[in-house]
Amino acid sequence: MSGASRREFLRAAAAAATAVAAGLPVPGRLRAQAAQATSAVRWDRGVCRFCGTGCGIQVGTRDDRIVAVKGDPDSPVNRGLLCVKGYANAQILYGADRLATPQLRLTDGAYDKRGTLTPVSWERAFDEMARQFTRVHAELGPTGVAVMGSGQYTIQEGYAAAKLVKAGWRSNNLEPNARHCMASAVAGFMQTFGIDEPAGCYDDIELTDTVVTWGANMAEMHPMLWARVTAKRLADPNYRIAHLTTFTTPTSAMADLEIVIRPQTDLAIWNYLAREVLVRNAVDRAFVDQHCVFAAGYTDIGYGQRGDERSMYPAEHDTRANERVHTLAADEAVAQGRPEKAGERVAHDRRANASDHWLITADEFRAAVEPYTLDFVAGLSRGNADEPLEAFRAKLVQLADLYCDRARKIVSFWTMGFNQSTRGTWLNEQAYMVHLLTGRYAAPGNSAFSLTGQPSACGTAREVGTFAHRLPADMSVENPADRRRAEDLWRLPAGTINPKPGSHLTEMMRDLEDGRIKWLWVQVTNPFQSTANANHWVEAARRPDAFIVVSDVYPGVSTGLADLVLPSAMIFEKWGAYGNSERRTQMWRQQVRAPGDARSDLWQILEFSKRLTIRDLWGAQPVAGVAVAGEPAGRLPDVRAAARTLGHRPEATLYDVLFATAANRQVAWPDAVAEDRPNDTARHLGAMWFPEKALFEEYAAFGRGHAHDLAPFDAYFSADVRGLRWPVVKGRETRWRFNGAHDPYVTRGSFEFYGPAMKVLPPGDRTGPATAPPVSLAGKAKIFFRPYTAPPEVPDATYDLWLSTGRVLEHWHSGTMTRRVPELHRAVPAALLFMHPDDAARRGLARHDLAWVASRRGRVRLRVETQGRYGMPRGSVYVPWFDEQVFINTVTLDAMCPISKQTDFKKCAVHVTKAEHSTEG
Amino acid sequence: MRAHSCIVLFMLVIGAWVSAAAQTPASPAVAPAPVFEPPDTRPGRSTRLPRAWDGQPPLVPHSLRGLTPITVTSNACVRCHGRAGATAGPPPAPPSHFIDLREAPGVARPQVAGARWNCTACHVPQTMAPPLVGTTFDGKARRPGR
Repeated sequence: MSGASRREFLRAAAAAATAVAAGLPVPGRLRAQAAQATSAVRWDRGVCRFCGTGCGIQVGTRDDRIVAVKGDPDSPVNRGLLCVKGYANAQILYGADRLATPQLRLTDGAYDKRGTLTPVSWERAFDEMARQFTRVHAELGPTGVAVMGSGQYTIQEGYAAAKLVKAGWRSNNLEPNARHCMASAVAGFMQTFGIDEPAGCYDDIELTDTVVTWGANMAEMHPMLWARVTAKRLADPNYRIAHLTTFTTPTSAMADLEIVIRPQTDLAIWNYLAREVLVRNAVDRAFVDQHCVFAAGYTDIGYGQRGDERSMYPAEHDTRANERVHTLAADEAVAQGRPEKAGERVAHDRRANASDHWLITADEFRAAVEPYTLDFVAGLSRGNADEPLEAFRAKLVQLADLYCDRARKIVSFWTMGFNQSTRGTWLNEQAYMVHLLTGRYAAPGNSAFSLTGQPSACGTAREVGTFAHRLPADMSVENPADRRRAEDLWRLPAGTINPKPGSHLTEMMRDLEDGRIKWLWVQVTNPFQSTANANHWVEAARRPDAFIVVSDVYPGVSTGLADLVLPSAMIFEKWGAYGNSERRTQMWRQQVRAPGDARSDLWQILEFSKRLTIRDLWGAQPVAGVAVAGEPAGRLPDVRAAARTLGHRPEATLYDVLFATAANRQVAWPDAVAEDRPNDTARHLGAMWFPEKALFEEYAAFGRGHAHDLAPFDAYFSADVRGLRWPVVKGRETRWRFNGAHDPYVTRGSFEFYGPAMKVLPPGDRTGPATAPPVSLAGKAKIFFRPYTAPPEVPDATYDLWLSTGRVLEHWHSGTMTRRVPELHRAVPAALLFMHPDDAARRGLARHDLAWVASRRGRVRLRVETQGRYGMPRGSVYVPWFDEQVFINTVTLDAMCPISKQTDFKKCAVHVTKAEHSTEG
Repeated sequence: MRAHSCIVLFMLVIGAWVSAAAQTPASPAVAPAPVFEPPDTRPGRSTRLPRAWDGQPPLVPHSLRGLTPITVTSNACVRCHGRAGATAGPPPAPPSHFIDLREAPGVARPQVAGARWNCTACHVPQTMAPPLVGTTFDGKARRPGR
């Protein structure tokens, strides 16, 4: 990696880029159009930057600025409508403090961790970034470096990041913030169906007559889907909406049945429903016999906390001690079929194999759900002490009526209240349990559907596979055949890809705290605000030997902790593609130029890859715990000689080998599909090829013929296309997977659950697998029994309230974009502490008083709200997390589902006190 | 600008705060936001708020106290604003709101389309909170109702 030659190359590339900009390859017609455009607004298709709904929008551009946004009337997702956040897609680009130049911590011109963030050139920025990478890589090997990416990465960005980290660096330390958002949905799909992503689609909203939301405040979090539900409810007197929640939300207002439950007891309610389905003979026997098997797994799997006492605040001791052993409460003991163990200490001795599972018989399943009677579950799960038990019981019966009524079609929707749980994977599996038992899945109007939070959590995080254990198209780094296939498609030497999964997102933070990761690149996410128990990670980021790079568009908590800040282009300042919750892939063209020196994240990935050579990265590498045949333990093989036989010189850069391949350079830029719009990724790269198109087509090769078929790049820009739901086979999208009438991958019968993963299992009973040989369950889905378990931290005498966190309609995630939109900020200017008026009064608090919310881990000060849009039951408080001045993730607990590694942001214990000497700030 | 400096202050505070974090986990000591509520203006006694750009959904210039939530059977917004083509009284929803673009595009109906029933998904009231940061957005808004 010679600095001088790199600089020369960059200069040459810059000169070439200038020539492009000066208009050499640009036809005169375009310039004429550009001149004309000074008055007219030019419209083009886009996709909303925010939630996982994936609303189609029209973007209006004038004089190189986005000036207006409207809903796309031709989009089947939202038919011309947008929520107030969607309408802000133009304004989010124009906050006055857009980051527009790289900034590096300097003292007297030299990098200094304690220095001041100072504007530098991209060249200086990449020089330091590469120097620090080399330092850490030499010390710790591939696992010492990491990338935190995003469910807001475009598909191409995520794919490039995956290829750079997994093929280039031979590290698997790549994680998306989507780990916090739908990892439990992924694990639930993989374990139940052997393949990821939903069977159904949004069409089910109009085709069903029953919608049940579980931990999903759709009215605020997926407003344009809720608009569709509402329209149906108003038009069809038979349509029913049930809403299960831990407090009253705007979704409750439209619901026919609102059920306020105690946190974590959704686990018990599903089992009550399964028991009712059996008792009332509502089982679809033919469906279950032909397409399903019964399964169970271990119970004592812990809560994904650190299993040791490292870096522990004194007050954290008791909660963390629950990680290894906990006292079985009486209701847990009953729910787990071991009532005799109530009050006993139970060791969590299955933490390491939490995802193991095996087959059980139908009779064993029936016996397992038997304890979940109406009496038991109603007593356990009533969430509002002011509601009479009889009334709550009646509601549970009504819910069971909906699920057991064979004349009804039914859709279950869930979001973070479900996925963000220490048993998030189980909850997903339980939803499938009831839908499979009643034969109401993967068919028009019958669906169990995880609504994603982010615009490309599905398209990028899941489908591309930007997780620490994933390769594209549902493949795994742990599977030798999958690694070989990826190596073939990527033209890598055999053995290049590291077979050991990297650290999951929260584990990366723990690694940073422990000094096991010392070089971290953050893109399209704000993890130091969004990760639970954040005081630890803020401190870890300031370790003297840690180098933190943050690519972002506005200042925030993470850029404030960064040693190098890289300014990024925003959505319509680059080309991109997102995949929404219903498998719909949508693309957009670059509309305007990014401000100043801001560059696309894809450009940053590709440009940085020019500074790393295979000579430095593809030699033998230390990876603790890895076992490769023919190598000493803990070592990846040297593949440089094999690389040479593939034609890669040792001094070849990762850019040469991974990105500017011969095939990709054939995909020319400019391209007619642009209709004369710019591509600044290509321009700044000095490339005459089309990175976003080339990388999309390269990525699509993984899924074509493997039930993840994407259409050709240009097809997504056809005048009559508003995104396409994969698999797209012979030009046709798929609305219901696994359904023989709709899914071309079904080879026989009316349904086939053809996902290949985890489809050979041993038999066993509820307590564990037997020694009998494993059997194949090809084509079948699993009906899991999963018991109720208590969460690791529950309110006690000191920390006496439940805390739940989440979003509000008007703000997106950590608020860096939406808080800069004046109308959104004025609508919801600050995070408030929503609590029951009596809970407030008991603490001497009145509405709008300042209060401290404290947990074992941290505390924040904010104002009390006893009215407003949320109705809190006694004993529970809610704080939105968008507000960096109310840094609520310093209070939350980093416990997670041990299978999915998704954090439970919905449950921890806090105490609330009046903040004295409060002043107006 | 006062609020802008608040964010800057926050970033400065992080530096000081982390060094102490090992002993005492606590959030940075930024001044909490003051109380901001929508002005207590009754419907009918407020004036329309300016739009930032052509096509921006109108902001709600009055308090929603007592008017929400919107339910299947009750919609206070529509009671006043749901009269198609009204020329006097509260501003009526535009013709677009009376067309169901999914089920019957092109057909104007007397009622607001069901998909637009949750008015507050798009139309939000405004507090007097000063901006945290300025904006360079310029939508060059003309008269609404294009």
